[in-house]
Amino acid sequence: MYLVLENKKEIISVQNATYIYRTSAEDEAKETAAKAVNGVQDVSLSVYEGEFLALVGHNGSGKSTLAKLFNGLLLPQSGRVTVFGYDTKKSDEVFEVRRRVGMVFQNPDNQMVASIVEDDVAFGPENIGVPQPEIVERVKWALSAVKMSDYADKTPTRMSGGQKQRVAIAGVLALKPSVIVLDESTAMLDPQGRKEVLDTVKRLNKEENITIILITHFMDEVLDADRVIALDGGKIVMEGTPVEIFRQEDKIKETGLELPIICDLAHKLADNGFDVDADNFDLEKLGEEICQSL
Amino acid sequence: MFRDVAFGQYYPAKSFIHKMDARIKIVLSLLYMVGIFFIQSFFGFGVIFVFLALMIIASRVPFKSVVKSIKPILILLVFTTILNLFFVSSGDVLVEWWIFRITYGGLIFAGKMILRLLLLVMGASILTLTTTPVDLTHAIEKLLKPLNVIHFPVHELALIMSITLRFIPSLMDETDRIIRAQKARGADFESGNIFKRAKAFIPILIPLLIGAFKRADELAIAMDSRCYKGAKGRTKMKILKAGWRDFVGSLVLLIFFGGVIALNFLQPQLEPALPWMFL
Amino acid sequence: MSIVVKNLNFVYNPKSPFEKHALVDVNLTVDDGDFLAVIGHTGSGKSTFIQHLNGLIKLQDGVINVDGIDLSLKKVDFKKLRGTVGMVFQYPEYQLFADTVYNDVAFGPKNLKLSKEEIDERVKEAISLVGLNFDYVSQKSPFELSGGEKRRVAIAGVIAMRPKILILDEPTAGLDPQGKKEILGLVTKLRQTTSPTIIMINHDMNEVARYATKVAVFDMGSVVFAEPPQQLFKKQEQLVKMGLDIPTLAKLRNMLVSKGINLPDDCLTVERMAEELIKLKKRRQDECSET
Repeated sequence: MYLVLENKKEIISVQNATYIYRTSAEDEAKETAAKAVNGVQDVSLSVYEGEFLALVGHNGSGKSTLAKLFNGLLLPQSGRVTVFGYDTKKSDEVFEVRRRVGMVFQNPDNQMVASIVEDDVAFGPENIGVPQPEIVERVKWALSAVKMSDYADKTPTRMSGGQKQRVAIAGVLALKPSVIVLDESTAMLDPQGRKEVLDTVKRLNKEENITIILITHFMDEVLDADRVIALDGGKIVMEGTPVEIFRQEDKIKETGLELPIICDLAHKLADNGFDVDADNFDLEKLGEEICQSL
Repeated sequence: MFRDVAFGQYYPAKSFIHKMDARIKIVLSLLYMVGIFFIQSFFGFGVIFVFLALMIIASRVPFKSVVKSIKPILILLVFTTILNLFFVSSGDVLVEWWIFRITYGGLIFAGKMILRLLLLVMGASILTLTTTPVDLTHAIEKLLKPLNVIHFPVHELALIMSITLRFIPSLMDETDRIIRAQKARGADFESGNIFKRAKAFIPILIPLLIGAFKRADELAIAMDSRCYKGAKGRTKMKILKAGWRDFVGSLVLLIFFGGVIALNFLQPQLEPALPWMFL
Repeated sequence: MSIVVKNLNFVYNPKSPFEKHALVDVNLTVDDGDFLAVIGHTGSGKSTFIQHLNGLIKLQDGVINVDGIDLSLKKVDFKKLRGTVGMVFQYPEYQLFADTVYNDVAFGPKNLKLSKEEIDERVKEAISLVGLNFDYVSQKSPFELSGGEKRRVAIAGVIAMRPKILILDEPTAGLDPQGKKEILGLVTKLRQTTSPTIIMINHDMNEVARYATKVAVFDMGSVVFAEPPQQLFKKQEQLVKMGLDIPTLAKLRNMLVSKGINLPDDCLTVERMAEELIKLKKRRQDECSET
């Protein structure tokens, strides 16, 4: 799996980036006292074209700060972030970065500008001066890609959280980005809404070859990721495929996260002489294995 | 239903007037309002009433919805009528009591004022009933565009209007939720004197305000992230296009008003023969 | 008996084009000491239902008796009701308003017109119950605190009313695993101390399976099931048909049972499931060696 990724094109490069929130001198004193920082410290990582990358960590681990560094919403206090070679710190290049790295946020209610779905989806392309006939096409395409075409002329008021987030994804898609970052976009949704959003981004990843960076603290959402990076205290503490990550049960717990229930059970059973695959995420398969090893 | 403020009073239908260009509708509504003040005679008002009735039929909006638009100005209507009745004095005295005196002239004047206000409000309501606030915002932005020359922030104004429309329902929902939450903690918004009641609203206003700032902050970040950089180099998806309907609509309005206003100028010639036209 | 609801009906916007039957003949009993989970998807009526229980929604039709308070009477003692039933809304931290944590938590008791000493005592108790250090936070502005701390302060504000019945609408929404665990641990603690009866709306079936003693399933405005999770989650097919999730381990248990492996119905947590499976394996091995 790793080799495959290495051969791919690096599209985002984060080099020794540090961004620490400081609101007052008092905070600074606290920082030195406590080990953990509020933000990210000296983080380096690469994102490759077409991959599905999951960034996990508890609240305050720095994952959202890192996300905002990816498209220049925050600029590193030291270090560098480049996207397709464009430096987010250069003010004449930041829009080139933002049209390539789209971002969907946590609260579905606070990222819609217009009262009508299609007007909202058009906002991005309008901003970068796409010619009118092409905007119409892009909006149509983006809404159908998230399966919200029927809602083009509706208001978001009565839509579910999942539907609103899909419109937000369409709003980002209309900019034709290479990367979509989902900054805890599933955190406020019910299970149905979470599934809708995840299915949508997985489809975009496969069918449109859009690189997905999923930021979450739900471990069962990262099972299908190509690569998982875990953050704690503003630093990268784990990196690997989901299987590799989930093998490190103790480290996951230290990081303030939890194993998916299936993995947790599989590990416990494997430790107690059951002949089950501890790296398995599939419930059916686990059931079969339990039957056979009883 | 306040929740659907994005549609305002909008009455969904696919009529001739619904399909007209919002810009033309705004301009025609303004012309209509100005025109109303040129009308002096009951005959003129009658003509405009016929015009209005035709418009309502063409818009497929139920007559009831148009009449409803009068409700908010009822008090104003009564007030101006009373003022006009008692303070305009000309012609024969009809009723006299203590210091009050109603004259024939006052009665006519008051009557014309009522008609004028009714025509004004009902005419304006056709605009808002057949055009969504969103379309109105687009149209206002386009109409004000020439003001860009004097550095008037037209785009920003339109964006503010659009975002306001977008967030009113969210804020209404949130207000409702906060009120329930504070009520659940025993808050009482109904009893006590006016100061006590005003004070009781602090636990609603503060969370609402903080929430609104948080929303504004998050929205600003989301807009930045979608490459927002102001009006410069911006294109628009929705192009307003004036079509044959706009031409026909304008023509009908101009004919009616042109005719009525022409009466004012032709008064010396026509009055001897047709005095009822100029009552 | 703590709460008795009989033939409860509720219609939003009656006699208008927007008329909507939110509740249809709801019957439900909640006993003292129950931990009731209320589940059902958005629009199933669960939110309308819980708001009836402390009088935030006016009773239209039916009978509700909450700890001896009859809500169908013309004159309901709302002060008493709100001191009996505490309600923690979704994202309760967005309702904080006062200049200090102390004053925010004191808001409820003040509304109950308690004496100054009593208010002081309750505020202290509530703040320490939710796991915050009174001396450290009480004079701080609630807006300086972290997200998790804010939510605790908001819950303390409800606890300070000393409600016998505590209703929570998705108390873990938006929290990370650690935060979720802490809040659910807090709810368990409150159940043992101030509020023996808990009613909780929750979408996470794994949490429901772990904590609830009884589950009420709402679908299209009616209560379809009201029973302990052990029984409820056997009805996999019916729940899936309603578009509801099944706890992961209930799914596994149902699967194993259908294959003839006998497991007790309370294998709804990883620990219990592992324990039973290990026991079973041992027993089978023993049987093998005997024969």
